[in-house]
Order: sequence, then structure tokens, then C-alpha cells
Amino acid sequence: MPRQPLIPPTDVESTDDALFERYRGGDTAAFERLLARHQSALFGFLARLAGDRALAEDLFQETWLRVVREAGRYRAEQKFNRWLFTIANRLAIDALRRRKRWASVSVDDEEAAVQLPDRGPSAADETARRQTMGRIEAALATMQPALRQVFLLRENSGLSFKEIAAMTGAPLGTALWRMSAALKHLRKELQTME
Amino acid sequence: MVLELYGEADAAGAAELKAHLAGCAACRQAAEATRAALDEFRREPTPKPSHETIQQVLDAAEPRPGIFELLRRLRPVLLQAAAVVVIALAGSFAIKFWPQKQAAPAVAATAAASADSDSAWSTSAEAIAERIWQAKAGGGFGASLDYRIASLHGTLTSPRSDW
Repeated sequence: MPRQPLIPPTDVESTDDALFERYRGGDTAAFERLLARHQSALFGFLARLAGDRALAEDLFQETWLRVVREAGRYRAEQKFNRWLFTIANRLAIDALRRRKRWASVSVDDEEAAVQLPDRGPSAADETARRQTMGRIEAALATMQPALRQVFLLRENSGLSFKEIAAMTGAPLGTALWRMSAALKHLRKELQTME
Repeated sequence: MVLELYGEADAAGAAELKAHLAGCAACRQAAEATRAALDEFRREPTPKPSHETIQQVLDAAEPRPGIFELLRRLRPVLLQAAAVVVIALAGSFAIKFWPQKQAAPAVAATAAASADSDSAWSTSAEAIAERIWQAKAGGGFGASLDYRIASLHGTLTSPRSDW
């Protein structure tokens, strides 16, 4: 019989670390709370970064399985949210690299990064897709992956740019530039569609 | 501007940006457009994972029982299995040793009788062979019969196990 819906994420009195500590002590209800608290942000990050719902479902599941498997190695000073998104980010980048859908971008490529991809042969497809997807989804789909990664991490995880820079292995300046380029791209795309 | 948008700019940086935007229409317009784009993004419904995926994660999060917990859960079954083994062993020992205690004297008697029989057979066979040999030495039975007597003598005087 399917389990009842998760407990709503209203338990502000329990920190992530406290819940995870309880889960490590065998309290699965604490895990449900953690999952409920982070599922939306995490899945939103994965779905929009991958641009593929089925892949996002796999990555989401794999991320939480890693959390379960590596629970014994977690230390509170890591900060649960950062740990969770670090796992998810690593899994997503690996998966996208395997599918040849990941390309890094350097600060020198700013102009290229904010340009729309070549729509020549697939313009009709792109238009049709845009009609079915939300305008934001379309704007994200045409964003360079490395820019999308920083943008979505900042929007979904709530981590600081410093933490995101450390997570992505980039200097803080690079992370900030990527965010700036991502916002510029988003702004341009939304203006183009209006 | 990015740091200021996300509330990460320090007081000095925020003040500097504010002063710049006040005197720069292009940057002010860009900042407003960026805020509007972000607002639109944040209004967009976030994709949700499927119920099946959530269920699989929850199933995976169920704690696996340790070895002691596993033994505790299996204790009734293990006790039943142990009882069956003990009964089987006891039955096996009973079958093996109980009837043998009854049969042991009979076996011993048979073995002794067999030994006596062998001894008696050996003695009587040697006696017969000796008599035949003496008869042959006294008169002889012919070449062909001599050979057969010698052969018979050998047979009669050899141990029974060689037959």
C-alpha cells in the first residue's frame, strides 16, 4: 500500500542536522521530514539543470540513496543542505558529461555564453517546445550549462556564492561572473519572448 | 550587482551600487529588468518528483537490521531449527547404538564359531592330506593321480582365504 503523503515541511523547530542525527539513530520519520523539506528545491535544481525529467528523477533518487548510504560519514559541520546539493551537483554533472550535454565555459567566453544556440535547422522544434514549456524553462534550456548550474544552485539551494564557488571548484569571481552572465541571459530571453 | 541582488553585498558595496544606479539610467534599467526576470522565475511552479520516486527513496531509507537485530527477529525459527537438529541427532544415535547392544553377543558368538570352524577345518584338512600323502608314498596311484593328489594336498593345506 502506498505510503501517505509526506509530513508538510512546517517543522521549523528542527534543524536539518538535528533531523539527520535522529535519522542516523533510526528515526525514519526524521528522514521523511528532511526529504519533504528539500525535495522541491532539489528536484527543481536537477530537473532544470538536466532539462530532462526522467534523468532528474534518477538523479534525485540516486542523490538520496547516497545520503542514506553515506549517512555514517556525514559530519554536522558540513551543513546538510550543502552536502545534499554537493552530491546532487556532482551526480548531475557526471550524468550530463556522459550524455555529452555538459560544456564548461570560461570567463573569456562571455559573449558566446549569452548568445542563443544556433536554431537554424531546429527552429520550428524549438518554437514548438517553447510553446509547451514555460517561458522560464525555455530561457534556462538555452543557457550555457555552467551558467545554469550556478544560477540554479543559488536559486534552489540557498547556498552563498562562496559556498557555490567551493562546490563547483571555481574561484568566487568566476562564480559571480557566471551568475551575472546567467541573469543577463535570462533577462534577454524573457525580453525577446515578450 | 549580483551580490546585492542576493543580499550578500556588504554595507559599503551596497551603498556604492546604490549611488551608481542613482546616476546611471542604463544600469538602473538593467537592474530593474533583472529583478523582474528573477521574480518571473520564482513565480514559475517548481517541478516535483513523482510519487514513485519519493516512495523508492523512503523505502531505501528504511534502516537495515543489524546482525543482532536479525538474530533477535529470527530467534523463534532458529529455536525450532535447533530443536529439529537435536531430535534428529538423538534419533540417529539411538538407532546406531541401541540395536547394536542387543546384537553384539550374537556377532561375537558367530565370530568365535567361525574362528573355531576355521581352526577345525584346517586341522581336519591337513589330516586328510597327510593320509593321502602317506598312501601315495606307500604305493602310488599313477602319474596322473599323483599330480592330482599333490594338487589336492596343496589345496587342503593352504589357508581358506586362498580358495
